Amino acid sequence: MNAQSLALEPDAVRSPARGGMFLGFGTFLRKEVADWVRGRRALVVGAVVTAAAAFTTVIPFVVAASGETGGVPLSMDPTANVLLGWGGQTVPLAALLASMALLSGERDRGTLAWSLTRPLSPTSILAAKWLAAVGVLAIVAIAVPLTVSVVIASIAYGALPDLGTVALFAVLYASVPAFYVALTLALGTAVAGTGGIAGIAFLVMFLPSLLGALVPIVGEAAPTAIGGWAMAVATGQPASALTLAGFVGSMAILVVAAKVIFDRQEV
Amino acid sequence: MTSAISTVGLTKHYKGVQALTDLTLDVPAGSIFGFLGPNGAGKTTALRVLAGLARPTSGSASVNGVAVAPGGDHRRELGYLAQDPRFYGWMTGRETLRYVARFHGADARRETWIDGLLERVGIADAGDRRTSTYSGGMRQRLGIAQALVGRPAVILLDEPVSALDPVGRKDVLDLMRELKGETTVFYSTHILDDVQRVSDHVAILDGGHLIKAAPTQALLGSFTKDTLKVILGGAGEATLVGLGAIPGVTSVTVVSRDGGTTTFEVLTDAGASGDVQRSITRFAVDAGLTLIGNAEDTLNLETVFLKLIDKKEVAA
Repeated sequence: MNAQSLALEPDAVRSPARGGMFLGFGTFLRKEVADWVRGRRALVVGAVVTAAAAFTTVIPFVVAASGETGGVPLSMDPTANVLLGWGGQTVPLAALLASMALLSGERDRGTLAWSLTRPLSPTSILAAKWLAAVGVLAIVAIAVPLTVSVVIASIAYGALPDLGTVALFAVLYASVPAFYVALTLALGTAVAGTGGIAGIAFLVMFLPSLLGALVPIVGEAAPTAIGGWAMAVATGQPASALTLAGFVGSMAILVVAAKVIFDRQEV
Repeated sequence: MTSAISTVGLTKHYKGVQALTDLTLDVPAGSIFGFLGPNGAGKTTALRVLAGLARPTSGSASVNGVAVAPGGDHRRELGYLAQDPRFYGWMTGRETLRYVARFHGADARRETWIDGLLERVGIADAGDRRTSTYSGGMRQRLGIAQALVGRPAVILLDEPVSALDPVGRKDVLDLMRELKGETTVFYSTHILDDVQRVSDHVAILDGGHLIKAAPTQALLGSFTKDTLKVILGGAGEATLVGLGAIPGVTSVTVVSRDGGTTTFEVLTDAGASGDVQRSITRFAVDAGLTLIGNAEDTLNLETVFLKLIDKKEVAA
């Protein structure tokens, strides 16, 4: 194929509508997954979260060994102990730290501009980065640690945890990395430096908890409460619809804002 | 003539800076088109707009007939090499080319094509090394290969030889020359000699304005037509006056004196250079001077470039 055979008359300008919004999505997604797999981020996140999950699974034994039970009987239920440590901030922190440079890092290295010279839409970049990060984090920060915890709990407590509950929790808890990755990506479209992105993301992470102590509805409606909501739903506890609505609304705002800003941006 | 690139009134303003003003240009398909200008002339801005990395403030552009738009579809038609190309350091050179090739669709012969490209740009031995270990020159070569990997109708090269040593520069210029007929090469440079050696078309940009666009030889010819270089032995002060008095001569300047030899630049009325040449021959004979040279001046692109820039500054 050469230039002569491809060229058209100058006035026969074709419409730029062949690829659509997700032009180049598949190729860029593949690159993103390879980037995660070959890099150390996934390994570090997986190791830290798995170690934390394994430790919290055997906490009753650790506490009993220390002799500081405080008079409160410790549950020896394997399911309760598998899910014991998942109310904390380990996964939100890991997701935030692992994803805060997804966009700014590429911008700084110049590879974002290079990729954008290919048949690739800005929307595809955001969507592929989000999907790859959430997918990898769901595996290394949720599925693997929970699997390890289930194995440890089965041995330690002599009974298999309720796998249905654990699986439902795993699926619902994927909303946690989904939110934090969307947050850091959206911030990455508007804030130039990784430090700024991290600072604002930490504020979003902790501010609702602080405000929630004063005005409970703020804490309940905050998207950062989605992890607690997943736990409540999986274990059959009362779960607030306001939390789910807050999560869905926040995700919609982040997606629209990121797309609008990134589409207009020059790199 | 078909256009590989067409721009109409392309204008780009940054905050307080008018980087590009009303650029209307047609780049013929299959040409090696040199986009020439001093630093800050707006060359990179124009290339970035064409690549879709910057949005024009006004005006429009198309690449191989596809309108330049933020969606990025026109980028199927082009390959782009930035001034300082950057790649994913964890990919090898070969993986980089595979990555780019996938954007342009599946091709059963892709691996053979990639091997051929690595060979062609001279980095076949380093094809399986991570690009983070590449030198600046190797990155530039990989940059050219990745611009070609999708078999685009147009390749845009921003200062493709500026970071190269003399050997690398020659290799890349040779490669660009080889691409003639294979694709359209639109490249920016401030190295006039390279344009003269490689380009069949040239556009000169200064201060964001297009000064001139023409086939290279036509541009050089348009400046040599009415200028004669006359070399006389034994010329004195009266010779300058005598040459100036010849009908059709508009001005005479002494370019150099070397011993008894004096070189004059004689500007003539449009189309009068032939008659003036004959008159100068007669004048030399009558004045008893030794006529060493009496021919149309051969200007290089550097002189033309400087003349064009000067004219623009005078007009401004």
